[in-house]
Formats: sequence, C-alpha cells, structure tokens
Amino acid sequence: MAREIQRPAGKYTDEEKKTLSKTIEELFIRFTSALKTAQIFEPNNVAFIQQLKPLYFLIQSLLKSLDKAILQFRGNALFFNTIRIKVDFHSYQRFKFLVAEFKQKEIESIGFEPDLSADELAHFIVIFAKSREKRLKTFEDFESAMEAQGIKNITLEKLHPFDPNLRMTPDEVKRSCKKVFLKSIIHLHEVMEREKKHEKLHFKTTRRLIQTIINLISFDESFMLGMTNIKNYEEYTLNHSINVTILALCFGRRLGLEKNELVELGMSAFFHDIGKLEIPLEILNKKGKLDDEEWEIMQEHPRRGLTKLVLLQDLSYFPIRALSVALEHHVWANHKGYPQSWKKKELNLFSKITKICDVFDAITTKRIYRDFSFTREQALSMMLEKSGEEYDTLLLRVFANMIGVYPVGTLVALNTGEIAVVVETNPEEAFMLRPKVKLVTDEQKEKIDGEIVDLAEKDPETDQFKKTVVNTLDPDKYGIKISDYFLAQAMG
Amino acid sequence: MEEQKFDKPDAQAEPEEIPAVEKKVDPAELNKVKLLFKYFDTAFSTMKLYPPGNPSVEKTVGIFDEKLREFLEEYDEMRIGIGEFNFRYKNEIAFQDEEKKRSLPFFLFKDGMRQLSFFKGLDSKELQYFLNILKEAIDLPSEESDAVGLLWEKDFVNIRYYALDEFLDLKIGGGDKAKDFEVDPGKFKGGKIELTPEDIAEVKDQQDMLMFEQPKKGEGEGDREGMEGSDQRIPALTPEEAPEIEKLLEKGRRMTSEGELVDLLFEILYFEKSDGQFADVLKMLEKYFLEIVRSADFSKALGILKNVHELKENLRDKSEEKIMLLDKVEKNAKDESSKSLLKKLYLDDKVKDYDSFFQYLEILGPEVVTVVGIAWENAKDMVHKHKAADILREIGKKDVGALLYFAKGSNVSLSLEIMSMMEAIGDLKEVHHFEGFVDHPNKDIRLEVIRVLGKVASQDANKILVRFLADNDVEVSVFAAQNLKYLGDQEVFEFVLELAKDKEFIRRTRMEKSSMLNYLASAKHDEAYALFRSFLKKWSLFSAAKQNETRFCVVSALESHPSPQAREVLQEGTKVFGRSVRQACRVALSQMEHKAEPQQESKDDERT
Repeated sequence: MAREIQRPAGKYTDEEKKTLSKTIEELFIRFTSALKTAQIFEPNNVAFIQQLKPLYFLIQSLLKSLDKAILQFRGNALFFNTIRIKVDFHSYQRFKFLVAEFKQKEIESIGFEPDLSADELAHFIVIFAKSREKRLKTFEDFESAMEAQGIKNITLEKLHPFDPNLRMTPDEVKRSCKKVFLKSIIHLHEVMEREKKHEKLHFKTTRRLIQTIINLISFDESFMLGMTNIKNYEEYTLNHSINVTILALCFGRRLGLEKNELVELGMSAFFHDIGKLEIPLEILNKKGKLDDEEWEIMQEHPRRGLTKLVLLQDLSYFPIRALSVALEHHVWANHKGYPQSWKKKELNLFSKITKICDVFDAITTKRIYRDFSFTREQALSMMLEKSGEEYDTLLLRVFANMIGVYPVGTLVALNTGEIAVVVETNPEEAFMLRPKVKLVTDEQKEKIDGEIVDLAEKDPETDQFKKTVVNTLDPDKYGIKISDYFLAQAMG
Repeated sequence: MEEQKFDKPDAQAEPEEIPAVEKKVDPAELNKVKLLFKYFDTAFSTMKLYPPGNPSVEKTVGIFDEKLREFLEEYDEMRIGIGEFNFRYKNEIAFQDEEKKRSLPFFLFKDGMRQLSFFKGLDSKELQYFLNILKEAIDLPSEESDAVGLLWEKDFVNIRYYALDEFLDLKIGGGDKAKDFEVDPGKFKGGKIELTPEDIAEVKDQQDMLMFEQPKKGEGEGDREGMEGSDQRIPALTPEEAPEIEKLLEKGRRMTSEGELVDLLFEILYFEKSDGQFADVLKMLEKYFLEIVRSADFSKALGILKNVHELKENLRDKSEEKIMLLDKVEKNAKDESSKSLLKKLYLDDKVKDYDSFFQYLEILGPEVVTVVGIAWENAKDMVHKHKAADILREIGKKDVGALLYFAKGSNVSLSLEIMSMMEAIGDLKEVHHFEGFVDHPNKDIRLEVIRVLGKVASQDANKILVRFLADNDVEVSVFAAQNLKYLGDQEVFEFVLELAKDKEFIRRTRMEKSSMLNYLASAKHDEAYALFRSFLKKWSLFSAAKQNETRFCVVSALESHPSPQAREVLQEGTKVFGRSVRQACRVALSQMEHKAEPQQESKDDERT
C-alpha cells in the first residue's frame, strides 16, 4: 500500500512514483477486472462483489494517502494521478479494453472523492460496464445516468477537444492508415534514392512518420496489422520494410516499450534492409536458387547496410540500435545465421524483434524465387518450431500471441458455410479463436462485399455462438487478394 | 532556419475544426495575454542565446512562469492558436513576429503545431520541462529540429498541443504509387468460390468435431474453446513470465549506445575488405575514442585500445595499409595533446574509474611516462601512488632510458622514487642514461644514482662514478669513491691514480682519501703500490697533519687489501719517518698475519 505522501496529485518525485507504481498497477488490474465481471454478472452476484470489495478498499487507501485518486486517459495512454500506467504484454489486453471504454464514452478522467461509498462505486462500475446495454451513447448520457443513480463522489471529465481520439472517426483512422502506409513507401523510396547518390540523410521526417504510425497503431492496431497484408514482390524491399516496421511497432507496444524506444525500434525496422542497395539487382531478382558466390554476396547485405548507415549519417540524430539491427537481423538467437561476428556476442533486443517480424513478413510474401507464400498461420507454426534456435523463445511467444491463432488477414471458412477474412483479433485471451471477420462469401460461397461480424457473438435464443471458424484457407488458391479487403475499408 | 514551403493543408485539418472557442474576448484579458506572449517570446529568445543556468535565462523564464501561473489561476486555460508568424487568442492576434530566424510562432508552426494550451495546475517544473524540450529543438540543426516530434515523446499533465496529422503531406510527395492502392469494390462481388476437395474435406471434419464440442447453454463464455485452442496452437504466456520480459527489456536498455557503436565499428573494421572504407570507419572510431577519453571513461577507452591492438594482430600480413592506419590511432592516443588531456583529467579529478585509468596508461607505454609521473606526484592516495609506481617500473623495464630521461626533469621525490626502482627493473645494461645525473642539482639524487651504479658494478658504471669524484660536495665524491670497484678497467684506475698523484690530493678530506686509496689498493697494481710507497716516505713540515692523515689512509687501504706487495710496502713503512706511522704499519702487518693464521690453524686441524 502507498505510504503517506502529503502532496497534491501531480507533484511526485521519481522515488515516489516508483513506490506508487505497484499500487497503481494493482488498481488498474482491479478496476478492469471489476468492469469485466460487471459485464457478465449482476451486481448482487458473488463474483462481482468479490471484485468490487478490494477495489473499493484500494481506492480508499489511495485517497487517504494522496488526497486525490484520478484515473485519466490522454493521448492513448492511461494515467493515475498524472503517473503513467505502464503497459506490458501481460496488461496489454486490459489496457486496450479500458482505453476502448474511455474512448467510447469520451471520458478523459474519472476522479474519486474521499467520501466515496461502496454503493456509489458499485453503481458506477455497473453503469460503466453495461453502457452499451443501457444505450448510453454520449458522455452526457453517461453523466446523466450517474446523476440518476445519485453518484456524487465520482467526477468525470470529458475528453479535451485536442485529444486525438476525438479528431478521427474509425473510418477516418483507416483512411489515415492507408495514406500513411503509402507515404511510408514513398519516403523509404526517397531515402534509398538519396542513399544511392550518397546524399546526406535527415531523419526528422522519418521520425515523424514513425510517430504517426505508432499513433495509428494505438487507434487501430488490427487495421494496421491488416495493412501488412499488402505485398508487392516487384518492389519487395520497400513494401517489406514498411510491413516489418508496422509489425515491429505493434510488437514493441505489446512488450511495453517506452515512446522514445518505439520510435527507435520503428526506425531500426525501417532501415533494416538498406544494405540491399549494395546487392546487384541480378542477384536480388534472380528467379532461381542462388549459387554459392551469389549467396555469399547476398549475405553481405547486413554488413553493407551497417557500413552505409555509419558512413553516411551524422549519428547524433540516428538511433545506434538501428545500426545493430541492420547488421544483426539475420543472426539467429543461437548465434548461427549471418553474418558471423568478431567480438560482438550480445544480440541487440531490437535485432531479435526485427528478425521475427522480418521472417514472418518474408515467408508470407510471394517472392521472385518462390511463386507461393505461406499463410500467416503456417508461418507462425514454422517459426515456433525453431523457437530457441533461430528466434528468442520468449519474444517469439509474445509475437505469436500478438498475431493470434487466426491472424488479421487470414482467410477462414465458417461453420455456416461462409468464407471470411479476419479483420480484428479478439482482445480476450479466452476468445482467441473468435476474431472479428469480414464476410467475403455467403453461405453458398457466392462472393459478396459482406459485413463485419464478431464471432464472439452469441445467439440469445440458443446461447450458442452464431458463427465459428472451422478451417483456414489459402487465399492464393482462390485468387483472393487479402490486402484489397483492407484497402477497400480505407476508401473515402 | 531553412526556407519552408508550405502548401495549405486540407481545410478540414485547420484548427477551425477544433470545437469552437469563444469569439468574444475581454480587452483586459487580451492585454494580459499579449503581455504573456511577450514574456514567452523573451524567455524563448534568451534560451536561444544562452546556456541553461544562465542568469538571464533563469530570470526571463522565471517571469514567464510566474505570470503564466497567475493568468491560469484566474482563467483556468490559455489556449494559443499558432499562425505562421503570429499567436492568436480567442481568434484575436495577440502576438506577431515575421522574422523567421527569430520568430517563436514560426518555430512552432513549421513543425505542424497549430494550437497550444496551458492549464491551471501547471507548475514551474512542468513548464521548465516543456521549455527544455523547445531548447533541445532549438539546438538541433534546422534539418533535424522538430519541436513537435520531441514533445510527442513526453507526457505533460497541464500542457496540450494540437499538431497537424497532415504534416507528413508537406514533407513526403504523393508519387504515382497511389494507384497501386486503389481498389474497385466491385471485384468483391460476383462469382463463386469453389473450395478444393481437400479443403472441403477438412471443413467437413472440423464441422463434425464442432457439433460434438458445442458448450451447453449457460456455460461460461469461451471456457472450453478459447483456452484449449490457444494452448494447442500458440503457447499462452503466464503472469510469471512478465518479469522475464521485463528483464529482457532492462537488459536491452543497459546496452549503452556508445558501447554498442564501438562494437559495431569494430565489426566493420574486422571484415572490411576495402582500404578506403576501412579508413573512413576507423576515422569515425577514432573520433568516438577521443570523445570517450575526453569524458574520462577509461574502461571503454581501454577496451578500444585493446581491440585496436588485437585487430592489428589479426590483420598482420594481410594489409599493410590497414596496419599503418591502426598504428596511427595508437600513436595519436599518446601524442602531446592526448597527454595534456590525460594530465588535466587526472589533476581535475574527472576520472570515472581510476583502475581503468591506470591500466590505460600502462597499455600506452613509455611514451606517457610524464602522465604517470603527474599521477604519482599528485596521487589522491597511496593506492594511486603505488599503481603509478608500478607503471613506472614497467616502463622502466621496457625503456629505462625514457624513464631516466623523465626522472632527470622531475621533482626530487619522484626522481628518487624512480632511482629506487632501478634495482627492481633488473639487469641494467644501458647505464649511460645515468650520465645525465652527474651534474644534477640535487645531492640526494646524485647519491642515489651513485648507489645504483655501485650495485650495477660494471666498467660502464665505473666510468660514470669517477666523474662524481670531481663533485663539489664531499659526501658525493666520497660515496662515489666508495662505490667504485676495481674491475680491471685501466682507464678508470689511471684516472683515480692521477687524482691521487695530484699535489692537492692530500688536502682532500680523510674520507675522500681513504675511499680513493682503498680503490687503488683493491687494484693490487704496481703503480698503486709505488704511489703508496711514495706517500709513506713523504714527509714535510708543511701540511704535516694532512700528510700523516694521508699516510694513515694508505696503511688502512693496504691492510684492507692484503697481498705480498701490500705487505712489502707496509714493511717499508715500518722504517719511515714518524713513529705513529711506523707503529701503524706494524699493527697492520700484525693484523694481516693474524688474519692469515686461522687458515693455517684450520689446515693443521685437518691434519690432526
């Protein structure tokens, strides 16, 4: 429990923040657990009461020691009394859940007052959790509902007009995702052209681009992951680098990297294959298998990439980790792979992350020397077999959990006879097999531009799931271009 | 600042889309805001000119901070609209500056910022944090400067800003790739998908399985399906694994940029085939090496030098050019400016880790003896002193000349310390380095040198020792004579003999005469004995005391180095003028015989 700190909220020393962080984490877990329980159970249910009680006492304890207890949502981050709530892979789904709730209700902050009673808290949790059921669509609706319940010791603040969550509708977000994806490819192309001419590079635009991608991932991670289904094997390096960047950033967020670390990771992934500029096109574009000499040249590209980056840049403005990634993204976790190193034995974390994303995108893309691609599901299986050897075991599992059993972009056959494309994974671990899908055929397998359905939805009459995935399909077999379904969603 | 070209972004991106603010503004309020903007601008200008901590910066920032908080106490929020060259408050222009290089509005506008709000509750710390970020952006070259980008990475409680999402449109062209991203939704309709027989079979199997596995009504959501499915296909992560991931992240964070960069540069250098690129990368490494030394981080500097050395060994016989370049790096690490830097860092107590610092000096070798000397003379404690002494000793083993040359110019205590090391250094063959000390102004040092030369006991050492016989200080000349050892070197013997033959010889002190005559006696040379005879026989009224003293020294010298000739001379001495001299000779002879007898007795004992 927090010790007594006689200071108003917002003025904590680093030491105090450290002391508080465990308590804040506990509060976050209890609050989300209470909300989820309230979504399922009635207020008088034992399960709900068991969640409510410790939450109430925790809030009371914090109020006693800190004067205020304010849960705040700003710029896609959650704060407690101005202290950022740290997100890692374990709390990610809770975070996503709570952020979605705040966004939907246009709430910026929830403040608990010292006179808060357990009853008030219970009512509030129920209203909050069942807002959709109660058809509370706006912030004002929500406030009114609270007033009607006589909740006086919980104050709400509406999202500030500046908050990015207010600026774009979900459709606008998708359009932005598409635009930024395109911009990324153009920018990387411009960068590579400058590299070829040995012109000095500046990274201001690249950093902004990465920050924008991170913003968009925070708004709609699934859609951004969906964009990585865009494959262009004729301009493979460009498209691939952007896909790897998006995958790496989603991955980094799951791991709990800080903002500045995410930007560095993004830049690392963005430039990871720049060494390929030094590889003759005849080798890059060779249709058949590379002979020994050609393979040796190809294996040079990481070192060439590193040298390029080192010599052409003023490294004050370029993340050093990106240099490591350029060199190490083909090195295995057990230090096999290439290139071999002289002294450097410790692989950079970002190299391990990028390697996983690099391979995943590569094997799910048709290549000039391979006229088929593996499905995402197959790719994950293949990679999991090499866990510990080629890939860091723990990192690969986080990645696999992020991608999901049915990754975004997977073509699935439903028990109803319909065929669909996975457009969003289910944030609930218990519902990993129940993503949101867009129907691409009807039950007779006639092609349609169908709706998006949530496979977690149940038929209230039978209490059975309405639809279920029975198998995954290879889109190439059926001439289906998965990326089109995402690009179409982003058309204005 | 670089010339910025701004196409107008889409109208929908303009701040007018932000929820409407009040159109009317109270004149008094507006005046306050105008003043506040002036304070803001002044603070910004001083920050551009002066470093943090400068009194002008602290004053102007302090004023802005105070006035801003006063304003926020009254009005809760100050929302600033940012135009290209102006600030607006409630749609009124409240500040204008059209000079790009100076303009605060332009500085923010160019990076896409369109609105900035400060809120009640803002404290000095948070405002300072915000201004520090602006300062960071100011200090970057214009092509890298990005205030919005820097702000994005930070969390502010009471400061918000709005920046264009379309900023990137201004920086990245459209290109003709857009058409690759257009999709005709019509293609989603029409036609049918015919599953392959294999897929049909698989779907049917799965559908059948599903029929058997449907959860009963009322069962918890996903309690059978979700968990089992995910376990089989993707191993779920457990809460216990969260700390493991955190450890992974922390480990990654502990790798410093600098250290990693240096490792990477060595990776390039080791494998690089092109001499040109090798040179370029090595230049970069050297630049970082110098920065590391300047920052007094010697554990890293040491690591780099060791790697340079190792790289040289690896590249030997492979590339002369590369070896030369690496040699130059090593050489530069010990040049005059590097040495000055090392001295300064030590004297200013800036060194981070003294163990590494001394190891670094050791690896640099004899060329940095002056630095080691400084460290010894100014040692923080005895540990440092001993470490410095150890290095001096090692330097001496590699290059005693360099060490002695240094000692000659050093202060007394250091020179003495170095002299005392000479024995530990071992077999000193190159004694000529000690020549420079013959006329050293400090007596203690001269004495110490004599002591060392005496221990060396070589003909070369003797040649230097004899030069000390002419020393102005008697103690020195005596000590030199005492340390002379006859080793058959005729030149030295004759030199001493000539000194002894000099008519002023008798005027030397007793100790001087005694030691020199001792040396001559030890030579057991005919010329020495001739001289001894002449001393014993010589008598005059003038300087009688000195003459007698000399005769007694002769007797003593002969007694110390017995030989038949010595006995003969003493025998003759028993008949010379002067009873005390005669008596001394008899005693000496008796002592000589006495010393010879125990040998005879022991021989007799053996017989019996």
